[in-house]
Amino acid sequence: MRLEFFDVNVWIGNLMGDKYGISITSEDLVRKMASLNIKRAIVYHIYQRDIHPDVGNKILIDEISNKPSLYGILTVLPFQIREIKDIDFGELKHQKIVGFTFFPRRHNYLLNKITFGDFLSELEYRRFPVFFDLLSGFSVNYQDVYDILNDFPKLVCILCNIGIWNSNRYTWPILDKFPNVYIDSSLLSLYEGGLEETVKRFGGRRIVFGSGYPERYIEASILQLVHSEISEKDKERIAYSNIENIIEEIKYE
Amino acid sequence: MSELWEEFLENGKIERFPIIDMHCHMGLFYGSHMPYSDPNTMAKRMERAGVKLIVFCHHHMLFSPEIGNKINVEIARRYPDRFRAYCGINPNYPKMVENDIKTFNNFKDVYVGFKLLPDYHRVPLSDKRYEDVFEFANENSLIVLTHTWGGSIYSGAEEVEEVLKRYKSLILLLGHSLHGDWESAVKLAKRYNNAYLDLCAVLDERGVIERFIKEVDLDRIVFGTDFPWFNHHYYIGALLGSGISDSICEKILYLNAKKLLT
Repeated sequence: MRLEFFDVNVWIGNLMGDKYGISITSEDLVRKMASLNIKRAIVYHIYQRDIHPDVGNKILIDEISNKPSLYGILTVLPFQIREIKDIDFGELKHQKIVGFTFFPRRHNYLLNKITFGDFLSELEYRRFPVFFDLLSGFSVNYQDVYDILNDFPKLVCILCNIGIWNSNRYTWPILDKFPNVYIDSSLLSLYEGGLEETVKRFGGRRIVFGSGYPERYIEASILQLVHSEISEKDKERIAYSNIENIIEEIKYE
Repeated sequence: MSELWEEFLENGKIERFPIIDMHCHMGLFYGSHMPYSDPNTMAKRMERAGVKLIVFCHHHMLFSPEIGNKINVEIARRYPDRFRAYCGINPNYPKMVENDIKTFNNFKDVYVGFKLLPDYHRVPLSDKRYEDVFEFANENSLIVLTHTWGGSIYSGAEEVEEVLKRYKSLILLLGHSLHGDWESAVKLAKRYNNAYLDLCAVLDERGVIERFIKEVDLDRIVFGTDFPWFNHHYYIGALLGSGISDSICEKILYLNAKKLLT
Protein backbone atom coordinates (compact mmCIF):
# COMPACT_ATOMS: atom_id res chain seq x y z
CA MET A 1 0.00 0.00 0.00
CA ARG A 2 1.55 3.29 -1.08
CA LEU A 3 1.70 6.20 1.28
CA GLU A 4 -0.76 9.00 0.53
CA PHE A 5 0.09 12.65 1.04
CA PHE A 6 -1.46 15.94 2.09
CA ASP A 7 0.82 18.71 0.84
CA VAL A 8 0.79 21.92 2.92
CA ASN A 9 3.19 23.98 0.83
CA VAL A 10 2.14 24.79 -2.73
CA TRP A 11 1.26 27.90 -4.66
CA ILE A 12 -0.61 28.30 -7.94
CA GLY A 13 -0.76 31.01 -10.58
CA ASN A 14 1.63 32.79 -12.90
CA LEU A 15 4.84 34.09 -11.38
CA MET A 16 5.72 37.60 -12.53
CA GLY A 17 9.34 36.85 -13.50
CA ASP A 18 8.97 33.21 -14.52
CA LYS A 19 12.24 32.67 -16.37
CA TYR A 20 12.12 28.88 -16.30
CA GLY A 21 8.44 28.22 -16.81
CA ILE A 22 7.67 26.82 -13.38
CA SER A 23 4.22 28.43 -12.93
CA ILE A 24 1.23 26.12 -12.69
CA THR A 25 -2.53 26.37 -12.86
CA SER A 26 -4.78 24.74 -10.31
CA GLU A 27 -5.75 22.20 -12.99
CA ASP A 28 -2.05 21.35 -13.59
CA LEU A 29 -1.63 20.92 -9.87
CA VAL A 30 -4.57 18.56 -9.48
CA ARG A 31 -3.22 16.39 -12.32
CA LYS A 32 0.26 16.35 -10.80
CA MET A 33 -1.14 15.43 -7.40
CA ALA A 34 -3.07 12.51 -8.84
CA SER A 35 0.10 11.11 -10.43
CA LEU A 36 1.89 11.09 -7.05
CA ASN A 37 -0.89 9.94 -4.73
CA ILE A 38 -1.22 13.38 -3.17
CA LYS A 39 -4.84 13.34 -2.11
CA ARG A 40 -5.08 16.92 -0.84
CA ALA A 41 -3.07 20.14 -0.81
CA ILE A 42 -3.14 23.52 0.91
CA VAL A 43 -2.37 26.27 -1.59
CA TYR A 44 -2.22 30.00 -1.97
CA HIS A 45 -2.37 32.00 -5.18
CA ILE A 46 0.81 33.83 -6.09
CA TYR A 47 -1.27 36.98 -6.75
CA GLN A 48 -1.96 37.13 -3.00
CA ARG A 49 1.71 37.93 -2.71
CA ASP A 50 2.57 39.65 -5.97
CA ILE A 51 -0.55 41.69 -6.84
CA HIS A 52 -2.60 42.33 -3.71
CA PRO A 53 -4.07 40.08 -1.01
CA ASP A 54 -7.60 41.24 -1.74
CA VAL A 55 -7.25 40.35 -5.42
CA GLY A 56 -5.36 37.11 -4.80
CA ASN A 57 -7.64 35.89 -2.01
CA LYS A 58 -10.69 36.17 -4.23
CA ILE A 59 -8.99 34.33 -7.08
CA LEU A 60 -7.83 31.63 -4.68
CA ILE A 61 -11.30 31.08 -3.27
CA ASP A 62 -12.70 30.85 -6.77
CA GLU A 63 -9.96 28.48 -8.00
CA ILE A 64 -10.36 25.98 -5.19
CA SER A 65 -14.17 26.14 -5.01
CA ASN A 66 -14.69 23.38 -7.58
CA LYS A 67 -11.63 21.30 -6.71
CA PRO A 68 -12.35 19.10 -3.70
CA SER A 69 -8.71 18.18 -3.15
CA LEU A 70 -7.55 21.80 -2.73
CA TYR A 71 -7.73 23.90 0.44
CA GLY A 72 -6.62 27.51 0.72
CA ILE A 73 -4.83 29.96 2.98
CA LEU A 74 -5.64 33.67 2.89
CA THR A 75 -3.23 36.55 3.04
CA VAL A 76 -4.06 39.56 5.18
CA LEU A 77 -2.85 43.15 5.51
CA PRO A 78 -3.05 45.42 8.56
CA PHE A 79 -6.78 45.75 9.20
CA GLN A 80 -6.39 49.37 10.31
CA ILE A 81 -6.07 50.42 6.64
CA ARG A 82 -9.25 48.60 5.61
CA GLU A 83 -7.75 47.39 2.32
CA ILE A 84 -9.26 44.03 3.06
CA LYS A 85 -12.50 43.27 4.84
CA ASP A 86 -12.69 41.89 8.36
CA ILE A 87 -12.58 38.13 8.39
CA ASP A 88 -15.84 36.21 8.73
CA PHE A 89 -14.54 32.97 10.24
CA GLY A 90 -17.85 31.13 9.80
CA GLU A 91 -17.71 31.73 6.06
CA LEU A 92 -14.15 30.42 5.80
CA LYS A 93 -15.22 26.86 6.49
CA HIS A 94 -17.44 26.81 3.39
CA GLN A 95 -14.67 28.33 1.36
CA LYS A 96 -12.21 25.60 2.50
CA ILE A 97 -9.86 28.15 4.02
CA VAL A 98 -7.63 26.48 6.60
CA GLY A 99 -5.09 29.13 7.50
CA PHE A 100 -3.45 32.50 6.97
CA THR A 101 -0.19 33.67 5.57
CA PHE A 102 1.62 36.99 5.77
CA PHE A 103 4.12 38.73 3.48
CA PRO A 104 5.17 41.73 5.59
CA ARG A 105 8.38 42.36 3.68
CA ARG A 106 6.59 42.27 0.34
CA HIS A 107 3.61 44.30 1.52
CA ASN A 108 5.56 46.73 3.67
CA TYR A 109 4.33 46.55 7.22
CA LEU A 110 5.48 45.07 10.51
CA LEU A 111 4.01 41.79 11.63
CA ASN A 112 3.82 42.24 15.38
CA LYS A 113 1.56 42.78 18.34
CA ILE A 114 0.96 46.44 17.50
CA THR A 115 -0.22 45.74 13.96
CA PHE A 116 -1.92 42.38 14.39
CA GLY A 117 -2.40 41.88 18.13
CA ASP A 118 -6.19 41.35 18.10
CA PHE A 119 -6.13 39.20 14.98
CA LEU A 120 -3.31 36.95 16.14
CA SER A 121 -5.02 36.55 19.52
CA GLU A 122 -8.15 35.45 17.73
CA LEU A 123 -6.22 32.99 15.56
CA GLU A 124 -4.54 31.67 18.68
CA TYR A 125 -7.92 31.14 20.36
CA ARG A 126 -9.49 29.56 17.26
CA ARG A 127 -6.46 27.33 16.67
CA PHE A 128 -6.34 28.70 13.13
CA PRO A 129 -2.92 27.90 11.66
CA VAL A 130 -0.57 30.56 10.42
CA PHE A 131 1.84 29.54 7.64
CA PHE A 132 5.19 31.33 7.73
CA ASP A 133 7.55 31.25 4.74
CA LEU A 134 11.13 31.58 5.95
CA LEU A 135 12.94 31.45 2.63
CA SER A 136 11.50 33.86 0.10
CA GLY A 137 12.56 37.07 1.83
CA PHE A 138 9.00 38.34 1.31
CA SER A 139 7.56 36.96 4.50
CA VAL A 140 9.32 36.59 7.87
CA ASN A 141 12.67 35.68 9.33
CA TYR A 142 13.44 33.66 12.44
CA GLN A 143 13.65 36.73 14.65
CA ASP A 144 10.08 37.63 13.62
CA VAL A 145 8.90 34.11 14.41
CA TYR A 146 10.60 34.11 17.80
CA ASP A 147 9.03 37.50 18.63
CA ILE A 148 5.54 36.52 17.51
CA LEU A 149 5.63 33.26 19.43
CA ASN A 150 6.88 35.07 22.48
CA ASP A 151 3.73 37.23 22.32
CA PHE A 152 1.35 34.47 21.16
CA PRO A 153 2.79 31.26 22.59
CA LYS A 154 -0.22 29.09 21.78
CA LEU A 155 -0.46 30.16 18.14
CA VAL A 156 -0.75 27.21 15.77
CA CYS A 157 2.07 27.89 13.45
CA ILE A 158 3.50 25.99 10.47
CA LEU A 159 7.02 26.97 9.51
CA CYS A 160 7.47 26.52 5.76
CA ASN A 161 10.61 26.63 3.61
CA ILE A 162 12.76 26.64 6.73
CA GLY A 163 16.06 27.41 5.00
CA ILE A 164 18.49 25.80 2.57
CA TRP A 165 21.12 25.08 5.21
CA ASN A 166 20.11 22.76 8.04
CA SER A 167 18.02 25.00 10.31
CA ASN A 168 17.84 22.86 13.45
CA ARG A 169 19.64 25.55 15.40
CA TYR A 170 16.72 27.89 14.65
CA THR A 171 13.81 25.47 14.69
CA TRP A 172 14.56 23.13 17.57
CA PRO A 173 14.47 25.83 20.29
CA ILE A 174 11.03 26.81 18.94
CA LEU A 175 9.77 23.22 18.81
CA ASP A 176 11.08 22.73 22.32
CA LYS A 177 9.24 25.71 23.78
CA PHE A 178 6.05 26.09 21.73
CA PRO A 179 3.90 22.94 21.43
CA ASN A 180 1.69 24.27 18.62
CA VAL A 181 4.52 24.85 16.19
CA TYR A 182 5.04 22.49 13.24
CA ILE A 183 7.64 22.29 10.49
CA ASP A 184 6.85 21.60 6.85
CA SER A 185 9.05 18.84 5.47
CA SER A 186 9.93 20.43 2.14
CA LEU A 187 13.39 21.57 3.17
CA LEU A 188 13.79 19.45 6.28
CA SER A 189 13.90 16.57 3.79
CA LEU A 190 16.71 18.26 1.93
CA TYR A 191 19.03 18.12 4.94
CA GLU A 192 20.87 14.85 5.40
CA GLY A 193 19.39 13.37 8.59
CA GLY A 194 17.18 16.42 9.13
CA LEU A 195 13.89 14.57 9.23
CA GLU A 196 15.15 11.57 11.17
CA GLU A 197 16.88 13.57 13.87
CA THR A 198 13.90 15.90 14.33
CA VAL A 199 11.61 12.91 14.75
CA LYS A 200 14.06 11.31 17.15
CA ARG A 201 14.10 14.47 19.25
CA PHE A 202 10.44 15.59 19.07
CA GLY A 203 8.49 12.56 17.84
CA GLY A 204 6.55 12.32 14.59
CA ARG A 205 3.77 14.76 15.41
CA ARG A 206 5.59 18.04 14.78
CA ILE A 207 6.28 17.71 11.05
CA VAL A 208 3.80 18.07 8.18
CA PHE A 209 4.44 17.04 4.60
CA GLY A 210 5.24 19.89 2.21
CA SER A 211 6.86 20.08 -1.20
CA GLY A 212 7.46 23.74 -2.03
CA TYR A 213 5.95 23.06 -5.46
CA PRO A 214 6.16 24.56 -8.03
CA GLU A 215 9.49 26.06 -6.99
CA ARG A 216 10.82 22.67 -5.95
CA TYR A 217 10.14 19.10 -7.04
CA ILE A 218 7.40 17.21 -5.16
CA GLU A 219 9.17 13.94 -5.96
CA ALA A 220 12.18 15.03 -3.86
CA SER A 221 10.14 15.36 -0.64
CA ILE A 222 8.22 12.18 -1.35
CA LEU A 223 11.25 9.99 -2.01
CA GLN A 224 13.05 11.24 1.06
CA LEU A 225 10.09 10.73 3.40
CA VAL A 226 9.19 7.30 2.03
CA HIS A 227 12.76 6.05 2.55
CA SER A 228 13.59 7.90 5.75
CA GLU A 229 14.74 5.92 8.77
CA ILE A 230 11.63 6.52 10.88
CA SER A 231 8.69 4.26 11.74
CA GLU A 232 5.87 3.67 9.25
CA LYS A 233 3.49 5.24 11.77
CA ASP A 234 5.53 8.44 11.85
CA LYS A 235 5.65 8.50 8.05
CA GLU A 236 1.84 8.43 7.99
CA ARG A 237 1.66 11.15 10.60
CA ILE A 238 3.94 13.38 8.57
CA ALA A 239 2.45 12.49 5.20
CA TYR A 240 -1.13 13.39 6.07
CA SER A 241 -2.50 12.77 9.56
CA ASN A 242 -0.81 15.61 11.45
CA ILE A 243 -2.25 18.24 9.13
CA GLU A 244 -5.65 16.54 9.21
CA ASN A 245 -5.64 16.87 12.99
CA ILE A 246 -4.59 20.52 12.81
CA ILE A 247 -7.48 21.29 10.45
CA GLU A 248 -9.98 19.35 12.54
CA GLU A 249 -9.15 21.44 15.57
CA ILE A 250 -9.90 24.79 13.91
CA LYS A 251 -12.79 26.58 15.66
CA TYR A 252 -14.68 28.24 12.82
CA GLU A 253 -17.71 29.19 14.91
CA MET B 1 6.27 8.33 -14.14
CA SER B 2 9.49 6.63 -15.28
CA GLU B 3 10.66 3.11 -14.51
CA LEU B 4 13.54 4.51 -12.50
CA TRP B 5 11.15 6.54 -10.36
CA GLU B 6 8.99 3.50 -9.69
CA GLU B 7 12.04 1.45 -8.72
CA PHE B 8 13.43 4.13 -6.43
CA LEU B 9 10.05 4.69 -4.84
CA GLU B 10 9.59 1.00 -4.22
CA ASN B 11 13.08 0.08 -3.01
CA GLY B 12 14.91 3.31 -2.24
CA LYS B 13 17.62 2.29 -4.69
CA ILE B 14 18.03 0.64 -8.04
CA GLU B 15 19.76 -2.45 -9.33
CA ARG B 16 20.59 -1.46 -12.88
CA PHE B 17 23.45 0.95 -12.13
CA PRO B 18 25.25 2.36 -9.09
CA ILE B 19 25.38 6.06 -8.28
CA ILE B 20 28.51 8.17 -8.00
CA ASP B 21 28.39 11.51 -6.19
CA MET B 22 31.20 13.81 -7.30
CA HIS B 23 30.74 16.63 -4.78
CA CYS B 24 30.80 15.65 -1.13
CA HIS B 25 32.27 16.63 2.20
CA MET B 26 32.60 15.04 5.63
CA GLY B 27 32.82 16.06 9.27
CA LEU B 28 31.30 18.76 11.43
CA PHE B 29 30.83 22.26 10.05
CA TYR B 30 30.53 25.58 11.87
CA GLY B 31 27.56 26.89 9.87
CA SER B 32 24.97 24.22 10.53
CA HIS B 33 24.05 21.00 12.29
CA MET B 34 25.23 17.94 10.33
CA PRO B 35 24.14 14.95 12.32
CA TYR B 36 25.25 12.28 9.83
CA SER B 37 28.67 13.54 8.84
CA ASP B 38 30.98 10.83 10.24
CA PRO B 39 32.34 8.34 7.70
CA ASN B 40 30.68 5.27 9.15
CA THR B 41 27.20 6.80 9.16
CA MET B 42 27.79 8.27 5.72
CA ALA B 43 28.73 4.88 4.30
CA LYS B 44 25.57 3.33 5.74
CA ARG B 45 23.37 6.09 4.42
CA MET B 46 24.92 5.78 0.95
CA GLU B 47 24.00 2.12 0.93
CA ARG B 48 20.32 2.97 1.52
CA ALA B 49 20.18 5.11 -1.62
CA GLY B 50 22.38 2.91 -3.82
CA VAL B 51 25.25 5.39 -3.86
CA LYS B 52 28.32 3.29 -4.49
CA LEU B 53 31.02 5.91 -4.34
CA ILE B 54 31.46 9.52 -3.31
CA VAL B 55 34.34 11.90 -3.90
CA PHE B 56 34.79 14.16 -0.90
CA CYS B 57 36.96 16.78 0.72
CA HIS B 58 36.73 16.87 4.51
CA HIS B 59 35.48 20.10 6.10
CA HIS B 60 38.36 20.10 8.53
CA MET B 61 40.85 20.16 5.68
CA LEU B 62 39.04 23.04 4.04
CA PHE B 63 38.75 25.09 7.20
CA SER B 64 41.83 24.13 9.20
CA PRO B 65 45.35 24.43 7.82
CA GLU B 66 46.64 22.48 10.84
CA ILE B 67 44.79 19.36 9.79
CA GLY B 68 45.37 19.57 6.07
CA ASN B 69 44.86 16.66 3.70
CA LYS B 70 45.95 13.90 6.03
CA ILE B 71 42.34 13.50 7.19
CA ASN B 72 41.20 12.95 3.59
CA VAL B 73 43.87 10.33 3.00
CA GLU B 74 43.31 8.51 6.27
CA ILE B 75 39.53 8.19 5.82
CA ALA B 76 39.58 7.37 2.11
CA ARG B 77 42.05 4.56 2.79
CA ARG B 78 39.83 3.16 5.53
CA TYR B 79 36.88 2.94 3.10
CA PRO B 80 38.48 2.37 -0.30
CA ASP B 81 35.29 1.04 -1.90
CA ARG B 82 33.18 3.94 -0.71
CA PHE B 83 35.27 7.09 -0.65
CA ARG B 84 37.75 8.79 -2.95
CA ALA B 85 39.03 12.25 -2.10
CA TYR B 86 39.94 15.57 -3.58
CA CYS B 87 43.22 17.01 -2.42
CA GLY B 88 42.00 20.20 -0.77
CA ILE B 89 43.83 23.43 -1.54
CA ASN B 90 43.95 26.51 0.67
CA PRO B 91 45.98 29.03 -1.33
CA ASN B 92 46.62 31.17 1.74
CA TYR B 93 49.19 28.58 2.81
CA PRO B 94 51.57 28.30 -0.16
CA LYS B 95 54.01 25.92 1.54
CA MET B 96 51.21 23.46 2.18
CA VAL B 97 50.07 23.78 -1.42
CA GLU B 98 53.60 23.15 -2.64
CA ASN B 99 53.86 20.07 -0.47
CA ASP B 100 50.44 18.77 -1.51
CA ILE B 101 51.39 19.03 -5.18
CA LYS B 102 54.77 17.44 -4.57
CA THR B 103 53.26 14.47 -2.75
CA PHE B 104 50.07 14.16 -4.83
CA ASN B 105 51.27 11.07 -6.70
CA ASN B 106 51.92 9.23 -3.44
CA PHE B 107 48.17 9.14 -2.94
CA LYS B 108 46.94 8.03 -6.33
CA ASP B 109 44.72 5.45 -4.65
CA VAL B 110 42.97 8.29 -2.80
CA TYR B 111 42.93 11.47 -4.86
CA VAL B 112 41.05 12.07 -8.08
CA GLY B 113 42.11 15.71 -8.29
CA PHE B 114 41.85 18.97 -6.35
CA LYS B 115 39.14 20.84 -4.49
CA LEU B 116 39.12 24.65 -4.40
CA LEU B 117 36.95 26.87 -2.25
CA PRO B 118 37.67 30.41 -3.46
CA ASP B 119 34.82 32.22 -1.71
CA TYR B 120 35.67 30.83 1.71
CA HIS B 121 39.44 31.23 1.30
CA ARG B 122 38.88 34.65 -0.28
CA VAL B 123 41.22 34.12 -3.17
CA PRO B 124 39.88 34.57 -6.73
CA LEU B 125 40.34 31.63 -9.08
CA SER B 126 42.54 33.65 -11.42
CA ASP B 127 44.95 34.53 -8.59
CA LYS B 128 48.60 33.51 -9.01
CA ARG B 129 48.42 31.46 -5.82
CA TYR B 130 46.38 28.81 -7.64
CA GLU B 131 48.68 28.65 -10.66
CA ASP B 132 50.82 25.69 -9.60
CA VAL B 133 47.74 23.64 -8.85
CA PHE B 134 46.19 24.38 -12.22
CA GLU B 135 49.49 23.70 -14.02
CA PHE B 136 49.85 20.35 -12.29
CA ALA B 137 46.21 19.39 -12.89
CA ASN B 138 46.51 20.45 -16.51
CA GLU B 139 49.70 18.46 -17.13
CA ASN B 140 48.11 15.37 -15.61
CA SER B 141 44.56 15.86 -16.95
CA LEU B 142 43.16 15.85 -13.43
CA ILE B 143 39.76 16.86 -12.12
CA VAL B 144 39.53 20.21 -10.33
CA LEU B 145 36.28 20.70 -8.43
CA THR B 146 35.87 24.35 -7.57
CA HIS B 147 33.07 26.08 -5.74
CA THR B 148 31.50 28.52 -8.21
CA TRP B 149 28.79 31.06 -7.48
CA GLY B 150 26.98 33.52 -9.72
CA GLY B 151 28.18 37.07 -9.24
CA SER B 152 31.05 36.16 -6.93
CA ILE B 153 34.28 38.11 -7.30
CA TYR B 154 36.12 34.94 -6.31
CA SER B 155 34.32 32.27 -8.30
CA GLY B 156 31.87 33.97 -10.67
CA ALA B 157 31.67 33.46 -14.44
CA GLU B 158 34.58 35.77 -15.30
CA GLU B 159 36.95 34.04 -12.89
CA VAL B 160 35.92 30.61 -14.12
CA GLU B 161 36.39 31.62 -17.72
CA GLU B 162 39.91 32.86 -17.01
CA VAL B 163 40.82 29.36 -15.86
CA LEU B 164 39.11 27.68 -18.78
CA LYS B 165 40.86 29.95 -21.26
CA ARG B 166 44.27 29.09 -19.87
CA TYR B 167 43.95 25.38 -19.13
CA LYS B 168 42.50 23.07 -21.73
CA SER B 169 43.55 19.66 -20.44
CA LEU B 170 42.27 19.66 -16.89
CA ILE B 171 38.66 18.79 -16.12
CA LEU B 172 36.99 21.74 -14.42
CA LEU B 173 33.92 20.76 -12.40
CA LEU B 174 31.90 23.89 -11.77
CA GLY B 175 30.65 23.15 -8.27
CA HIS B 176 27.06 24.47 -7.98
CA SER B 177 27.20 25.46 -11.67
CA LEU B 178 27.66 29.17 -10.96
CA HIS B 179 24.61 29.10 -8.72
CA GLY B 180 22.01 31.64 -9.82
CA ASP B 181 23.93 32.67 -12.93
CA TRP B 182 22.66 29.64 -14.82
CA GLU B 183 22.95 31.37 -18.19
CA SER B 184 26.70 31.77 -17.76
CA ALA B 185 27.05 28.15 -16.67
CA VAL B 186 25.36 27.05 -19.88
CA LYS B 187 27.46 29.46 -21.93
CA LEU B 188 30.76 28.24 -20.46
CA ALA B 189 29.82 24.58 -20.79
CA LYS B 190 29.04 25.17 -24.45
CA ARG B 191 32.19 27.18 -25.08
CA TYR B 192 34.75 24.95 -23.30
CA ASN B 193 34.65 21.20 -23.60
CA ASN B 194 36.56 20.70 -20.36
CA ALA B 195 33.88 22.52 -18.34
CA TYR B 196 31.51 20.21 -16.46
CA LEU B 197 28.35 21.22 -14.62
CA ASP B 198 27.77 19.90 -11.10
CA LEU B 199 24.18 19.61 -9.84
CA CYS B 200 24.90 20.37 -6.20
CA ALA B 201 22.53 23.18 -5.07
CA VAL B 202 20.95 23.10 -8.51
CA LEU B 203 18.30 20.45 -7.95
CA ASP B 204 16.53 22.29 -5.15
CA GLU B 205 15.13 24.70 -7.76
CA ARG B 206 12.77 23.60 -10.53
CA GLY B 207 13.58 24.54 -14.09
CA VAL B 208 17.37 24.69 -14.10
CA ILE B 209 18.29 21.08 -14.85
CA GLU B 210 15.68 21.09 -17.61
CA ARG B 211 17.53 24.04 -19.15
CA PHE B 212 20.92 22.33 -18.81
CA ILE B 213 19.60 19.20 -20.48
CA LYS B 214 18.33 21.17 -23.45
CA GLU B 215 21.52 23.11 -24.06
CA VAL B 216 24.57 21.38 -22.63
CA ASP B 217 26.49 18.28 -23.76
CA LEU B 218 24.80 15.51 -21.74
CA ASP B 219 28.16 13.87 -21.03
CA ARG B 220 29.23 16.91 -19.04
CA ILE B 221 26.62 17.07 -16.30
CA VAL B 222 27.54 15.26 -13.09
CA PHE B 223 25.72 14.39 -9.92
CA GLY B 224 26.82 16.23 -6.79
CA THR B 225 25.01 16.84 -3.50
CA ASP B 226 27.36 18.28 -0.88
CA PHE B 227 26.50 15.13 1.12
CA PRO B 228 26.39 15.08 4.19
CA TRP B 229 24.85 18.52 3.86
CA PHE B 230 22.07 17.27 1.65
CA ASN B 231 20.17 14.04 1.31
CA HIS B 232 20.65 11.63 -1.58
CA HIS B 233 17.01 10.56 -1.84
CA TYR B 234 15.95 14.19 -1.98
CA TYR B 235 18.35 14.93 -4.84
CA ILE B 236 17.54 11.75 -6.72
CA GLY B 237 13.82 12.45 -6.35
CA ALA B 238 14.36 15.94 -7.72
CA LEU B 239 16.31 14.68 -10.72
CA LEU B 240 13.64 12.11 -11.52
CA GLY B 241 10.92 14.68 -10.89
CA SER B 242 12.37 16.91 -13.60
CA GLY B 243 10.95 14.49 -16.14
CA ILE B 244 14.20 13.79 -17.98
CA SER B 245 14.59 10.35 -19.52
CA ASP B 246 15.97 7.37 -17.63
CA SER B 247 18.93 7.14 -20.01
CA ILE B 248 19.94 10.74 -19.29
CA CYS B 249 19.52 10.09 -15.56
CA GLU B 250 21.91 7.15 -15.90
CA LYS B 251 24.50 9.39 -17.50
CA ILE B 252 24.14 11.98 -14.75
CA LEU B 253 23.98 9.62 -11.82
CA TYR B 254 26.65 7.22 -12.97
CA LEU B 255 28.16 7.07 -16.45
CA ASN B 256 29.60 10.58 -16.69
CA ALA B 257 31.34 10.29 -13.33
CA LYS B 258 32.56 6.78 -14.09
CA LYS B 259 34.20 8.07 -17.26
CA LEU B 260 35.90 10.87 -15.36
CA LEU B 261 37.24 8.50 -12.74
CA THR B 262 38.69 5.90 -15.11
